[in-house]
Amino acid sequence: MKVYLDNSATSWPKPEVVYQAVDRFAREIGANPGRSSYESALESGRVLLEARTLLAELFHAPNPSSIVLAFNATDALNMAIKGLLEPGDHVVTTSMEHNSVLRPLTGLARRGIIDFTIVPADNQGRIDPEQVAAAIKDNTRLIAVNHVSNVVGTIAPVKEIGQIARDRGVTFLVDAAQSAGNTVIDVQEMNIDILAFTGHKALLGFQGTGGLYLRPGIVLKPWREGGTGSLSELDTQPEFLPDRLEAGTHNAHGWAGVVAGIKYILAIGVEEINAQEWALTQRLLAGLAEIPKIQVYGPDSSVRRGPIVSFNISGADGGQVGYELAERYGIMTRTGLHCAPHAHKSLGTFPEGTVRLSLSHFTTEEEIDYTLKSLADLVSILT
Amino acid sequence: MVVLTFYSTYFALTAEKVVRAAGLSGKLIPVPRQISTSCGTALRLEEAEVDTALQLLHGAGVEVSGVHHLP
Ligand SMILES: Cc1ncc(COP(=O)(O)O)c(C=O)c1O
Repeated sequence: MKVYLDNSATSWPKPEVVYQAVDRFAREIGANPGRSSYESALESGRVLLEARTLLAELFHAPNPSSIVLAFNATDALNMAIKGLLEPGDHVVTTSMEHNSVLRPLTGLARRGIIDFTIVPADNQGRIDPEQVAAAIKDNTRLIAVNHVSNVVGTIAPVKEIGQIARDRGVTFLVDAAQSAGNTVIDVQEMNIDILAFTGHKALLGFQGTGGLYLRPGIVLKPWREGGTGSLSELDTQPEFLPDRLEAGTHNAHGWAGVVAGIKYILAIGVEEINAQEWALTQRLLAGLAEIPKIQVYGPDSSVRRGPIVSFNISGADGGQVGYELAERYGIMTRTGLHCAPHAHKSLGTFPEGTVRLSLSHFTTEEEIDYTLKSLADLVSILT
Repeated sequence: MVVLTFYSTYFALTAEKVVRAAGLSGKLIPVPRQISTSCGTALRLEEAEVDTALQLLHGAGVEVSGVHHLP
């Protein structure tokens, strides 16, 4: 049996309609979006417009023009962080962030441009909004928070932090890499100014797609500059969105896949997807609790979390556990630090890291049960 | 014939969607040589449709960079 439990890295498999949409685009459309006016070039552009329209619907954004397309969450986060911050600014972030937030901030800080404060999570990955509020200074321009932890699935109190940001006049950036597509996100209700997402995880598309929601009125300096197919006579980047931030040819066939993925998600309903994944996650957590020598990290098993579970087997090396799971049982996981070293420090699992099982809409009960049986077997072999 | 031009392709494509949804004839075409403009795609309409189209586009937040009446 082969069981893919690395959906937080990239989800797999995809809905059948996603494969079909990409195949159709590749065979029948293919042209560069937004550069010419013959029919297939227009059709390519219409794919991007549909992507913006569906993303706006999914995130409850006011308008498709508030969506900026990029190449992944990392690209989008760099765009937001480097496009917003000015010399002398201060940023409040958390220990649960991915390196795609922590490294751009650290890079800017090392060059003396900004300064930032990391609010530590507790050993379940929880952030206290009061601590975020207490870290705000006079020069704080940005609060950056990971919505759902890619290490243990802990859900951050984004609505509460969004309210604090709004009250204090600070821009609020949410990293929705793990939540876009499987968790309800309402950017207006949650007071989110900037939302970064990626297309290849719970949005069920392919790699090379991602982007930002930008609250109307938020102005970012372009981080990537170049051709847009508009105002080509000028040597400078156009001022208007989305062209200001969208230099270079888009991954149009990738967006055709994301369009099909979001339609698939909306037809089922985000809440329904979330409920199904939570039921499976609970089944996994309950089974893990029965196996001796397995320690599970993160929120209490009764507390709702994203479909992400991290564990270790006491006395066994995580890397070896991951290797044995793949070799002996065909179970694909991710071990180590998951690009989030400070999160592991909060959880008490640094520097060894954990073994991470991440589920998707396509994970089955049978796969969970097989994984649990395999783990029980592996524990008896390794310890 | 009337040709509307736009700053960005995003607006041109949105404009097409908006006017077509209202039953107008809008067709996207390359910007005619005699008009110099910002993005290479324009929307062609019938003379009689222009006022309705401009109202619809304004309502939908689509910025029109030029309205060109061509023979
Ligand atoms: C929380 C979080 N942020 C950002 C990223 C980066 O996403 P991408 O690899 O699509 O750039 C990931 C996933 O790798 C993630 O889990």
